[in-house]
Order: sequence, then structure tokens, then C-alpha cells
Amino acid sequence: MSESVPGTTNQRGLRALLKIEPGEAWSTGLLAGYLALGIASVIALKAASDSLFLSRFEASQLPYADLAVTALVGVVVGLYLKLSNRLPLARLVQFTQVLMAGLFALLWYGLAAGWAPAAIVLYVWVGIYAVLVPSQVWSIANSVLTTRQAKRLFSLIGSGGIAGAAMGGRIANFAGTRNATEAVLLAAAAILLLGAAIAAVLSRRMLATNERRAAAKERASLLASFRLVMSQRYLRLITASLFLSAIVSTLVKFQFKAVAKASFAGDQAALTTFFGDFYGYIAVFSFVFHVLFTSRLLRLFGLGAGLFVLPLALGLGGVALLTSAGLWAAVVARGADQSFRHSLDRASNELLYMPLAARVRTQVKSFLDIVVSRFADGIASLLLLLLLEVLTLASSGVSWAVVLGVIPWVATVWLLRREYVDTLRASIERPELNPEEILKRISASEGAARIAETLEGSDHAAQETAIDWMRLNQAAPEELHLRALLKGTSPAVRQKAFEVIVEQRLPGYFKQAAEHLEDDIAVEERWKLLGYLEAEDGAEAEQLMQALLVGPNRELAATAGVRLLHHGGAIAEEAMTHLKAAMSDAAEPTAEWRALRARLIGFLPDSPERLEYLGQALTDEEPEVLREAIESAAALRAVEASERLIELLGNPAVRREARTALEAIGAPAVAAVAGALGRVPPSEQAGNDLLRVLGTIGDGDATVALLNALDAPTFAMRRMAGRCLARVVERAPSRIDRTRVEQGLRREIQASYQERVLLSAVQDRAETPRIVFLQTALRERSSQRTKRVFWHLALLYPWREMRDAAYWIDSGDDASRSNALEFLETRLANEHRRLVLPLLEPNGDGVLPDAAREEFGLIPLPYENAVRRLLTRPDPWLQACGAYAAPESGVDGIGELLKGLRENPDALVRETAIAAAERMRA
Amino acid sequence: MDSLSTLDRALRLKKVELFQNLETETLALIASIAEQIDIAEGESLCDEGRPQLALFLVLEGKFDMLRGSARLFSIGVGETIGNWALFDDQPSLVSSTASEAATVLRIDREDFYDLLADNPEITRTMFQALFQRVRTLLTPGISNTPPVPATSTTRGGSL
Repeated sequence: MSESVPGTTNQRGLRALLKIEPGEAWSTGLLAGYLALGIASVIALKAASDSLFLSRFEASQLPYADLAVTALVGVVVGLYLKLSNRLPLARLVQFTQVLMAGLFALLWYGLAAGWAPAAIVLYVWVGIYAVLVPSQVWSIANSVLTTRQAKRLFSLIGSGGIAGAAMGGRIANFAGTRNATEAVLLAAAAILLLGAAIAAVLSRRMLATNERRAAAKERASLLASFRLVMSQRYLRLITASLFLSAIVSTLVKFQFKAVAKASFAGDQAALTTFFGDFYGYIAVFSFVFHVLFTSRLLRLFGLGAGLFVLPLALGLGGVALLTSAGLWAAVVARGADQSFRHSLDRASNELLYMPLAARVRTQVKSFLDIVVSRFADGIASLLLLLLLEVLTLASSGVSWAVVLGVIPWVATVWLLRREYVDTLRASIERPELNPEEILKRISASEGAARIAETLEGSDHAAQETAIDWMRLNQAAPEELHLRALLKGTSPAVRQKAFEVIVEQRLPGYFKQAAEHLEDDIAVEERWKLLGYLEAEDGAEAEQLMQALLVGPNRELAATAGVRLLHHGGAIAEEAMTHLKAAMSDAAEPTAEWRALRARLIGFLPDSPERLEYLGQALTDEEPEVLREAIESAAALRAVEASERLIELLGNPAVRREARTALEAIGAPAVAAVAGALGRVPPSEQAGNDLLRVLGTIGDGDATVALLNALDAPTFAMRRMAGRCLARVVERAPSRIDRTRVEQGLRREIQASYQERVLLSAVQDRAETPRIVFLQTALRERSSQRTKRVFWHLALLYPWREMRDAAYWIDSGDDASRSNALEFLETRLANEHRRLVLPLLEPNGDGVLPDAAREEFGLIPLPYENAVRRLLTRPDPWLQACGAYAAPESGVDGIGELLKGLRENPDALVRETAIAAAERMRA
Repeated sequence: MDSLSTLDRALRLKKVELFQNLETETLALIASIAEQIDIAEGESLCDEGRPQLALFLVLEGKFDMLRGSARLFSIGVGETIGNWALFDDQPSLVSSTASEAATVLRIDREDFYDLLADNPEITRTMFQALFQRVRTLLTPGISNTPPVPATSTTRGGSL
């Protein structure tokens, strides 16, 4: 198979090593370079500002400057967030960087002109700059890359930062040795201008969805950011993790310096050499580790593992310091901190922001990166003072504090890991609309006074609506209103008023209900009214029904007769006599009368005649009669009528009623329905109806039948089977035979990979219309197959999660698609993740994933073999498409294969093979 | 013109705007109810003022679209006549007459409805296509663009 990945072999090898996909190299390179420049300028400026400050002021004045930095950070971030309301991220970064470049140029001029306060301003400003610039670069990276790309590429981008730190040191050294410290400011200004240009270039690659999501949110400010962070558990956990991380790191740094000082007591030169060597080696180790392992570790073990490494390493370092207090223990602790903090931990922490909406991310990230981290630094310093000066603890006390700090940090990370998955899930969740709930909420919001006003009015339609809303809220109308409505001129309003009386068993309406029986109302309503009368006054109701039985209204007499059958005794026998006469009355067999009789069957007590009447009614030719008979079958749960109801699924006039009746019969109907599904259904729609019935019933046998239907002949039926199974799983997960689903899933994945092999083989061929048709058919098959994979997954995992993930993976929204993939990676069990994700990843069309080779022994196929395989594949549609494109393939011996297809049972395959053979001859 | 195979017909139907969103397998189903017919010069496919009961895809030849005796425009190879006839009962606003010997694919409305009834999936996709078209016509900014996309060949669509 030829790979569609562009570039030379060396370039491809490098991309594979660094896990860069085609089209990502430019953005990744720019971001890494941008971060390198940013960090280099920070390091160089820090050195320069320290040196310039100390050359003009006393070291004892440094804490005042640090305090000023802390105070100003809040002001600057507040202004920055306000600006973010007006400018999109890229513009915001460009604007602030140009502004900062101008400020550095001015400061350079001020220093050159001998303006003493310039050194103070520079010191303070560099303190802010040092936290603002890296945060900006990472914000841009978050907006340019999707979650999946971030997971692969953040390590590479982060390595730019590590390299930048080394570069910054060299710049400072170079400037220092040439007595040109002030020149660092001009270099920083130039770097900032270059950074603004890079931001402009990268802004064209920002994800469109992020900008869309940025609209119409709360305006950003320091207070709003704080509220936002406090309002979401996920953001609170990120804050807590950052906070604890900063504190533990400060404590470890102190321990390291203290132990080192003690180890090299009095030997200043040895101490300097040691620090130089230590940071040099750590920088190299950190860079190599970052480039080679961070991305791999994140993909292999996930974000959770990435977040755990630093706290656990520092915890071990703390324990080591407690047990030995030797230099080696300090080196281990500080080494782990320095190695992982700027590599794996940084990349993992940046990934935490990816599931957030772009606007939230911009607002929260600058707040957390700048304000919270500075605040945590301050708290850590205070804590050190407390431990050493107030509590006068020895160095081991600080080690205890490290260990004690790591415990809540690990716990926070544990929670954060789970919250990350939930946040990813929320980012791809599509809201469920529950119409009933919405209606209830709307109706509850309507004031009682307004309802009363409507009921008193003359608008019948509004009155009907008002009654419906009251029923929805199970509220009874005022008696005054009700009596007025019963006397009203609108039959529909009167009927609805009676429905309320009957449903809520409102006493005192016997007379009106008895009169209403005479109106032209449905059998069900009449039946309910009789029930209401019996409840109100049993004896009087029976007398009334006896009178109706021999009265002139034939429909009313029949209904009353059926009701009396349930009373038993002599009165029931008399009613039966009347009823038999009515049921066999052939004098005037109008459809209307037959329909009424058919409906009454559903109210008959159990008797030999009941099934006989039902059987007759279900064979009536009038849809109106059939509909009533079906309703009776449903009311009686007449399993004997199942086969007839299945037949009626083919009758468009009563299809829906037949389906509902089968669902009402429930489990006893499953055997008949499953049997019908095994035969060829009269239409795809009838087949779908059978599946729906099984999905609604959802017992063990129905589930087995649905699982079988996943191999149904048409795609629509297979899809329906998948949906129905999902409904079953939602109600009763234990009903699914997981082993069987696993086997089905594996089959689908294998078939999907096989189709991927075929697609890869034909996709680079000359694009003649017939070959393009074949390619399209294969792509469509592959997409269908992916859907089938998700149907199976939905039986093994929460189906809503799988449904939403499938939806976004199929969408054109890169960011949501990426979040969906990331969610699946965290959600699926390893054996599924390994096989399913390579099928879903973008840029996968031209490459056969390792899983296909390792798991299913698949190898890339040359075009000729792919065409032969298509022609022998047990998929008539792909066979036909293969035959269609075959004459243009130039494959040897294709004529023989086409000849063989002339006897194929599928008509389309036969026709296409014959046409293809003729074309070859021509 | 030689008789086209089902897949050849499906290939041509793929270019019809109404069917563009359908999968190839579904197109083959529609192709199976499409009838290839030869039309002599001067023969009419539909008459002004009378309902049109089929969609025609021109495979060969040309048709004049006339209102009264005035020629409005002509329809050629790859274009359709009566694009909405599959859904619309209204009388045709124009008549179409072959200006030279022609071959067309004819999709009869009743056959099409039978196909939809048996394959709800097609109905779903067709609804999407129709809705997309309506939205294109109604969305400000898009409505000024020609109703027929460049890839489409359905000048008879508004008839």
C-alpha cells in the first residue's frame, strides 16, 4: 500500500519520531520557536534586571520591589482581561507584545540617559513579564491545536521553552561579558516584535469553533475570573493543584539550596560549580526526556499519569530528604522537580485547559497562570518563614512539610483526573430535550390568575389550552369555572372539563356526567364516565345502565351492556344476551357500527366469545374498524392476535397502531415478532417496526433477536437494531450478552480495517469516473462500518456517551471531534481503545494502523489484488462496484472473475459484471 | 445511445442536485427505477399547464423550454427537467420539446414514492437535501447567489 504522507523518507522518519502529522510541522515549529524566544527573553531579562537593580540599589531593597511586583500583577491581569473583552486572543497577544516592546525600548533609553528609577521599573515589569509571556504563548497553542494534537505536540512545543531557557542564559552571559547588559532590553523588544508577528501568522490557524464559542459570554475581569474559577469544580481543582504544586516546589527548592550549602560549607567556588553542573545536566535531561518521552507517556498512560509524576516524584524526594538529608536526596528531589515541572507536568497541565470553551480558557488561564501562581509563591515564602523563623524548625521540618503537601496534591490530582474526563464528556454532550418537562415548566410559570381569566373568557381554543395546562399540572379548576364550562356551547371544552372531573374524581357531577353519556363521544370516554358514575353512586349507576341497555341509543346500550358484564350475576347474564345480539347484528353493518363493536371488544371480560369477536374484527377491510380492533387487541394484550398484528404492519393505514398493540402485548409477542424478523419482512419499514417492538419490550428474548438483527440485510435495519439495543441497554444493562457484543464488535472492527486496506489500495489510482465511484462506495461503506462499531460500543458503554462521541466524530468541527476522540481514549477499555481509535483518527486514510497488522494480520494490498478481493468479497454492493471499475483496472485475468460473477445471485452484480465484460470486449 | 447499466445511471444521477447527498448504494436503487427512453425531435416531455409526473435527466440531445410559443432557454446533457416534479403537483409553467433527437432517464413519481416507502433512509436524506436547499434560498447573503450551484445541472429545477 502506498502511503499518502508527503515528504522524503527522512522527513517521514523524523515526523514519526516526533509524532507530527502532515500539516502540523509549521504550526508546531512556530509555537516551539515562539515559546523558545519568549522564555529566552524572560531569562535574559531577569538576569539583566537583577544586575541593573543591584548595581543601583541595595539588596535589602529587593523585597520591596518583589512586593510591588505582586501588587502590580493583579492590576496588570485585570487590565489584560478587560482588553480580552475587546480583542480576540491573537490580537490581544499582538497588542500587548508590541506595547511591551515599546516599554522595553523606553526603559533602555531611560537607563542610557541615567534615569535612576528606570532600574526599579524594569525590575518590577520583568517580574510581570516573566509570567505573562509564557502564558500567552501557551494560550495561543491551546487555540491553534485540538485536544488530540495537543497531546502529541505539547511536549515538542514545551521543549522549545526548555531550549529557550538555555538560550536566555547564554544571551545574559554574552551581554554581561561585553558590558552591554542594557542591550538585553533591545533584544527583548525585538523578540517581542517577532513574537507579535508569529502570533499574527498563527492566528490564521486558530480553530474557527473557538472564535464562535467566544461570543456572548460574561465579560472578563479579575473578579469575573475569580467567580468563574470558584463556580466550577474542575477549575477549582486545577487551581488547587497549581497552588499546591507551587508551594511544594518552593519548599523543595529551599531544601536543595540549604543542603547544598551545608555540603559545600565555606567553599563558594565549589558551590557555584555544583549549581552550574546541576542545572546544566538537568536542562539536558529535561530536554531529551521531554522530546522523546512526554508525548509517548501521555498517549500510553493518559493525562492522569502525566499529572501524577511530579507530585509522586517530589513525595519520594521528600521522603528521601527525611531519611538521609544527604546531598544525593536533595539532588533527587530538586532534580525531579526541575526535570518534570517544565516537561511532562507542564504539558499535562496545559492539556487540562483543552476541554474548556475558548473564552473560558482565555479568561481562566491568564488568571491562574499569573495571579494564582504569584499568590502561591507568596504563600510558600510565608510558609517558609513560619516554619523556620516562627516555629524554628530544622531542615527536616521542611521535609515533613514537603511530604504533607504532596498528600493533598496527589488527592487533588486524583480528583482532577476524573473531572477531566467528565469535562471532556460535557464538552461533547448534546442536550436532551424532554418535551414533557419543558411543557410542565412553561405551564407552571403561567399564573393562576391568567388561567382563571382564560377560563372565564369566551375563546374556546384558549379555554381548551388552559384546561390542558391545568391537567398537566394536576390542578383542579375552581368549581365555579367548571360548572360554567360544562354549560358552555363548545362540545370540545365540555368534553375536556369532563375529562378533568373523571381524572381527578371530582365529586358532585353525577347528573351532568349521566347527561354527557348521551353526547356524541368516544367509547373510551363513555367507559370512563360510567366508571365515574359507579364510583359516585354504585346503585344509581347500575340502575341507569340497566335503563340504557334497553334504551333507544344502540351505542350507549352496547357500552352499558359491556360495563354490566363486569358486575356479574343476573344482570350480567341479561347484558350478555343483549350484547350477543348487538355483536352479531348484521342488519346494518355500517363501518361506524362495526368500529364501535370492535372497540368494545377491548372492554369485554374474559370469555370464549371475546377472541372470536376480535379475530373477526381484525380481518375487517375498513381501516377505521381495523384501528379499533387493534386497539382492543392492545387493551386485552391478546397474544393470539400477534401474527395478525404483524401482518398488519404491512398495511400503511394501521401500521402504527399495529406496532403499538404488539408493544402492549409485550413479552408473549416476542416469539412471533422474532420469527417474522427471520423471514423477509414485507418492507424495510415493516422490518424497522418489528425491531422497534422488540426494543420496547426489551426482555431477554427480544434482546437476543435484536443482536441477531445487527446482521440484517439492509443498513437501515441494522441501524434500527443498534438503536433499539441501545434503548434496552439504557433500561437494563444486564440483559446484554457482553461476550456476544464483544465478538460482534471485533468482527466489525476487522471488517472496517479490511475495507480500509481496500480503500487505501484504490485511492491513489487515476481518477476515472468509475474508479471514483468505487472509491466513494468504499468510503461510504467505511463510514457505515464506523457507525456499526459505535452501535456495538453503545452496548458496552453508556450509550449516550457513545452517541455523542459518534456525532462529533462525524461532524466537521475539528475541536469537538478532537475532544470526542480524547474522551474515547480516556473512556474505552484498553482492548477497545487500541483497535477503535486508529479507525477514527484523522489523516488515517492512507496509513494502515499497527493494530490492523498486529491484531488481524492485515497487510497493504497492491491495487490488482484489491480489485480481485473486491470481486470475491461477500458484499454484493462492493462486488458490483468492483466489477464496475474492473475494466479500467488493467488487472490480468479479470475477465475470468467477471465471468464467474454472471451466475451471482444478486441481480445488480450480474448486470454489472455482464456490462463490464462487454466493455472490456469493446 | 446504448442502454446504460444501473451503475452507469447511478453515476449520472450523482450529478443531480437533488440526489447529491445520497450514498452511491441508494443512488443505485433510484437508478433501478430510472427508465432510459429515446425522444424524437419535436417530441414533448411535459406540457405547460399540466402536472409533470416525472423527473427527466438528459443523457443526450437538447430540449427547448417554452412558455406559449416563446423559447425561454434550453436544457442539455447532464441537466434535469422537472426537478421538483417528484414532490410537486402544481402544473408546469413551461413545456419542454426536444430540439433534436435525445435520450433521457425518466424517474416516475409513483415509482419514486414506492421506493421511498420501502426505504425510509432515502426519505431522510432527501429531506435533508430539500431543507438545505430551502435554507440556501432563505439565508440572507446566500440568497443572492444563483439557486443552482456550479456543480449542479438542474436548470429545470424551478419549473
